[in-house]
Amino acid sequence: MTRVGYDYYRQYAPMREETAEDVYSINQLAGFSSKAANPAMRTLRPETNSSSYETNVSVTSIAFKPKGPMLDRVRSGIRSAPAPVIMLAAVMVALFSNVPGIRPENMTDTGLVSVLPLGWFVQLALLIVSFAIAMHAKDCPPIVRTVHIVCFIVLIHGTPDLVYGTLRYSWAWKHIGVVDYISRTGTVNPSDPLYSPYYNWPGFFTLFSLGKSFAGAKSALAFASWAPVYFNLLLLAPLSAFFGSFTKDKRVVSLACWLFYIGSWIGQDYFAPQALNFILYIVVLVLWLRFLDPDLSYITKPTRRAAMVIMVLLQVAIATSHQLTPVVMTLALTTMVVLRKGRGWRVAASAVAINAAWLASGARTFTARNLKSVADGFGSVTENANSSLSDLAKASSGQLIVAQMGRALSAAMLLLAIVGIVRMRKSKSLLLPLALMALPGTLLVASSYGGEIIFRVYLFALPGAAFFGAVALAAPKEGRWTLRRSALLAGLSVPLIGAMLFAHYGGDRQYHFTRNEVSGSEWLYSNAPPGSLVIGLTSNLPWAFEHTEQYRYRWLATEDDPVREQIINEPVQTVNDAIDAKPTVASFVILNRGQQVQVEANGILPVGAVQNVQTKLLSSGRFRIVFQNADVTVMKRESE
Amino acid sequence: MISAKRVTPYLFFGLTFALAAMGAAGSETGVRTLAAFAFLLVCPGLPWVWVLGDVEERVAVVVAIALSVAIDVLLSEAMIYLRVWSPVWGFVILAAIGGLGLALGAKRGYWDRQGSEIRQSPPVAASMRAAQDEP
Repeated sequence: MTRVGYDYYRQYAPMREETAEDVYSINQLAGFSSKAANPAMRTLRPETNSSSYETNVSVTSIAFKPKGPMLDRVRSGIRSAPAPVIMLAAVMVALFSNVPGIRPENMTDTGLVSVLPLGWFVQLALLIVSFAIAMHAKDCPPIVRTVHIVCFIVLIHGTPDLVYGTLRYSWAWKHIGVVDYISRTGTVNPSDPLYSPYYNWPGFFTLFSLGKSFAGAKSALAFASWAPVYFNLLLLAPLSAFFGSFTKDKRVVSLACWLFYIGSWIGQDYFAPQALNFILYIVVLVLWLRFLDPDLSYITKPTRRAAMVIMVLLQVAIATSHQLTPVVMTLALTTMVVLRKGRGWRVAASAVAINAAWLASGARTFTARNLKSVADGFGSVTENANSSLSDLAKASSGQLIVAQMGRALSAAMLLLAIVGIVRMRKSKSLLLPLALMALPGTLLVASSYGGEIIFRVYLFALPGAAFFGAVALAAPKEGRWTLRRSALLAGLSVPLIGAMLFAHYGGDRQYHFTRNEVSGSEWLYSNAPPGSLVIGLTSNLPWAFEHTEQYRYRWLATEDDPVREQIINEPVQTVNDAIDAKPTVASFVILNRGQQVQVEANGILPVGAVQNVQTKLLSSGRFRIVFQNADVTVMKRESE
Repeated sequence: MISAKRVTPYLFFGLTFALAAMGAAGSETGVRTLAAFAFLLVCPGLPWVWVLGDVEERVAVVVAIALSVAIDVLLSEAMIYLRVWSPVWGFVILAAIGGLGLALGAKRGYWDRQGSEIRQSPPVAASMRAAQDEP
């Protein structure tokens, strides 16, 4: 692009925003010289005699609508799309009005959906219809559609936090403990087998340790339970910029974001390194697409260098914070470089070098311990994939529905993506998003990732799938977004969101904890002397959230088969054997509602097994209850 | 027009002083928690967006937040591995990093009113490529 053309664009672009209808070449843009002299000009018409300004960029777009302050955009939204704005306002006003009536204790094995009131579904339906109408409204500003997505995120991810009032997922409680350890001791402990991945990739935890200290909070629990809300909200802008790198059509961008959040059922947005690193990963891709893509001839050398420095900082932060994301990031950057015929290779090379350096230094303890198991799992695609899938033969009927809904939603997203790919088959811009969608699949070759690999593959493929899904539903190039198309979008969103609600909330009966359960765990850590052994059937309870280094744990129903069999037939003997295996200061057995739900819903133990274990331990005379409420019982072995 | 560029200095100083004041007062409120994370998300990185030149505002904010997080992560890890863990010094260093970016940006006249009004980025190359091919 010539300097004149770019300067022209730079000067007057703020007055406009791009629309699908108004596409002009940059050569034409450069022909505006006479009208450009008037900065107050609001509407421009291109002149066609622009041959003196040659460009190496084929097509660009400008828009001819005024782009003013936020208030103007809101006013413009109300004028151009009153119906969705009014409906959106109604949803926002009554956002959590239904929450006080929700009774989580009545939840069935299908999860939170089973206790959500009708009013909540009405709100959601209103949001879906409103979003579909906003897509149809001709001059509806993108901000209106963005607010719909924000509302969707807050409604879907804020409701459980308000209903339960405690942190979901037992493993997230461990993350609280790691933050506690780091902020208390100022060190990490990479050789601790229970927390080895966390201490070998500590970036997320050191960050939140700093945040906890800045906030003056006693525990990371003060901000952890709302993580799904703020991580998803933080992701929205990078995601929007990412989609905006592939299309100038802002409806497609909004729709891709909408589909992404519908498809995101796997619950990788809680208080964990994956959620934060996924955001950083998307930003790395955005930086490459917006600043380093070789086609961006108007980006100056200093800007490219600055973008590269920022990318390297992000790469280091990602490489030291998470195991899997750096691998995907390296794959993605390498793919981009290959598709761009080797240009920008330094960025991919730096990703490889940084990851290798961290594996050999900060994460060397983990690498040395796990290299063999990773090598053993390499190439076992079927085994790696199957390790992630739950054994439906043993699951309860409710959990069966939940698992099927998750699979159906994933299949629907894939199907939509395929339709989008077919629709874009002749497009020159197909290859890059397609590669970014497909390449996470190669992770299946590498590792089972502790039985989670298929969910992570889905997560990293989802942005690409959502983009193609949006392309599948988008209006034709020259066509308008018709009311019929909006009806199709709403009609399609309803079953997809329905499946998402089952799949995302489906495990909540076991994944959430009551205040009683939290009280039981708090009592345990306040009263059990350091060095104590804590025994349970599974780890599905709030645990290890403070003084992580002071306790040992055994979860008998999740150990090898002989132990699992013994805990059913000989619970007293099994628990005593576990305690006597290694001398300890004191031994506690903790049994809670969450463990009971988990072993029964997943078929780990027969129905009533938890109660049976408790009864037999107490009747043996060697165990006594030291704490009890409606949801948890803590027992201590008498001889101690 | 209120742009991220123009509010950056106010945001930086506002959050830094508010958090410092609440920390000094020993406040344990939700407001301090919000201020703490707003500081971590904004203050180290946003003052450095000028290095990207004329960048679209949405992209600038996205990059600024990610850059802030990266700086936070790297600083906190450095304090851990160097065994000099100190949240107070962490705060001071993060504020200094942001302050330096702000000063260097001011030296180049980046935060001035004129600059904020005239500079926006052109469309990206990918969208240019896609423009002809969309369905």
